Amino acid sequence: MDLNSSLPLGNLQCEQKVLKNTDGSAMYTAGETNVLVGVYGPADCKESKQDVKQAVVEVNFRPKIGIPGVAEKYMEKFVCKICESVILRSFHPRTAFSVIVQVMQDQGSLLSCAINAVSMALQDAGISMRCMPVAVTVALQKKEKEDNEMKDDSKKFVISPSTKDEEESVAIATFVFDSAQYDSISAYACGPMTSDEYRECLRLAKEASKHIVRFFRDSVSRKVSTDIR
Amino acid sequence: MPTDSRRLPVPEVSHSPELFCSSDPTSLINDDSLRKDGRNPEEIAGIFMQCGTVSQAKGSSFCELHKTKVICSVYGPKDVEQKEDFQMIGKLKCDFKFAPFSCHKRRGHIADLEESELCEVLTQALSSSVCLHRYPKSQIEVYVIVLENNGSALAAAITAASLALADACIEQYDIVAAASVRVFGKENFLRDPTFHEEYFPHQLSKKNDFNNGVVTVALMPTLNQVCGVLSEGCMESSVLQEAIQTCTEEAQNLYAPLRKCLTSNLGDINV
Amino acid sequence: MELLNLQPVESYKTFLKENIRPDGRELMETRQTVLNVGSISTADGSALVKLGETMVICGVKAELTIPSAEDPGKGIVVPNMEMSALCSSHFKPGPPSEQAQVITKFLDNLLKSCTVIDTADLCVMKDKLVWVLYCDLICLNYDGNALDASVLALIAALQNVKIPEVTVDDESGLPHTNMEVKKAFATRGMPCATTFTVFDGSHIIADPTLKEEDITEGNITVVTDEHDNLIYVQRQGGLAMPEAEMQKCVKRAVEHGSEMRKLYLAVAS
Repeated sequence: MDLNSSLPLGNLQCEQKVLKNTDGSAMYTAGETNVLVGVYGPADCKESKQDVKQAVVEVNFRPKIGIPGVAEKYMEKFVCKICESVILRSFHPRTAFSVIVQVMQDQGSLLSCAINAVSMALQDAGISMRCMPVAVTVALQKKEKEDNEMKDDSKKFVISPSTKDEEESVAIATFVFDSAQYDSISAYACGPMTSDEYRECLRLAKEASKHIVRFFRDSVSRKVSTDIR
Repeated sequence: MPTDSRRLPVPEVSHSPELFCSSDPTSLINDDSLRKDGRNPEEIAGIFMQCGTVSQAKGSSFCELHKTKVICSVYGPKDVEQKEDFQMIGKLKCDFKFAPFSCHKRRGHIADLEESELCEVLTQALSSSVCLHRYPKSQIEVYVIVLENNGSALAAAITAASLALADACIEQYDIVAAASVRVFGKENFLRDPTFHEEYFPHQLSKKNDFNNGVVTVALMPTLNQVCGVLSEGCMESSVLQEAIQTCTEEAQNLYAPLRKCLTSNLGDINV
Repeated sequence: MELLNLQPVESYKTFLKENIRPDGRELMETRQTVLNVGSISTADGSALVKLGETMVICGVKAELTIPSAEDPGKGIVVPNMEMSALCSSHFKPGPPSEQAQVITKFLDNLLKSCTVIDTADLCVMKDKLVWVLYCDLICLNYDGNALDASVLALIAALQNVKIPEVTVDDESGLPHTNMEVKKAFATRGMPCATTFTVFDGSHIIADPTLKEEDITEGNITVVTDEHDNLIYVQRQGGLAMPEAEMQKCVKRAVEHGSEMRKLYLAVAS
């Protein structure tokens, strides 16, 4: 793909149907970060958790090593809310969707990589969705120049930052857009920034998300063409 | 050491700064026979009671005894969790917790032995006052959190819990009022002990006579029946009797403010 | 009110037609907030927040510990949120619920990303002894929007913290604390959170109550600092929303933040 070279998104790779026993799965690589997702559903649901009007979504976030902790719980909740808003849940009342996110390698922009992976896995499972969620992480770096206060020059936005970029940045923002209208579904921004900087991050993320959607489309069409063959 | 995956990781060991300061053990009563906080031994602590603190609960209360602050809420009667536990009498489920910041030394999140013990005493004291036979197949949940412990936490908790049960319109034979007293030598009964006056076995000095301990009594004031006694430390039986008598009197005196608290709360609803 | 329980969504719609909420608030109006600090004498710093009926208490306990190998010159701040069974029938006794864990992590992220506390200030002796601040938050009454209340309680409690003086004996290397001399330590900045939720995909309402949380989808939390910068933006779920709506929330959060900062200043003086 030529697409990768023209964009500062790093190396994007996605393989669907990697796990045999799941209803849908995807292995998604963005830069050095790699996430594997398995999706089950719509499947049977415990009576205590059932919702009579719509399906429930459960997300399990597993770190590369160790047992899941509070940080994973936070990610789970974030991903779960996105799934709940995109999946047409009222089609499958009294059932459950189960999404398992396994982090294979984390070299920055983990949240956006995980969301994109979930998006591809849900697509692979053929679950009806309002739209596909697309996530982009943007980091804001500021170099404090002590002598002159050329603030605009010292500002730098990094799309899909690596762990090193994240450490050097003052603020990190992850935006999730819908693949149809490019309206925002979810956002997570941490660190001090002015609302102008926030808008700039959002604008850059929106641009980048269009490329990712194109990448989604390409990899799906590749998958479909091999299926036919 | 098992880590708690549901909370943020904490340092494996940490010490209270009080550990590193020189402490001077002083007598509980000074030469003018006054206590550290300036009270007479017989002087009780001021009590503040309030109903309906937690709006989400069926019934709730807040109780403040000198600086000890206890909040309590009651839920139910609701279905028992496990269906196989079918019983014709209701079940009283209590949970007693010290907030991590409530004591001089920080408390852990998981219930320790002291909390389990106090919870047991609380459950027993309340079980004899609640008309459990009126609630078949159901359970009543009582949650108590001690926000600040400056002594007599159990007494405050029992009083608060009974008040909350009354606020939740759970049928009781009588309200339960509790009081505690620190026995310090044969003669000295310190009413409503503060945290420093509470009984710590390792702090005992040899020169006192062996009568040393804390007694807490839960009383149903109108029936004049004792429904719970917790005595720690050792004392002669005559001294214990006297201590229980002192507590009973004190608990009896709580009846008026309890009644006032409940009726004033009713007034609000009618108006 | 009966109808609100039976047909919450339908009856809520009729209220919204008049641009008012069942409790008499306007859509972007927050509930009355009361902040009280230092009421727990056993804690080194404490704050009680009442946001309408929602009540959150935060107590900070300072203890001494050995620093971690990665950050030998830095103290540790550990927030922990507890949604006890006491505060609502939604929660069961036992380990923290998912919601409590998410708030805990939110507070942790917030403390790390803003400069309220410089953990270097908590260092007593590099590589040997640092302070650890256990910030325990307990929700005492849950009527929605525990997040805003807990941010307010946490920051106010940290501003209220007074830690005793510590000296380290040169010869023995043992610390000695003087409980008589306690000093407050410098906190920088006053972040303030404002939460919004979306009803029916089109109406944004601020500071939802528990009932409103049940019938709305997606929540937006914006944390602002005293320079009106955004420190933390969290938007979870809900339908896709044009950016203009989001900017409305940011604008309201900035307004609300400056109101709340008056509370911080009032209790600090």
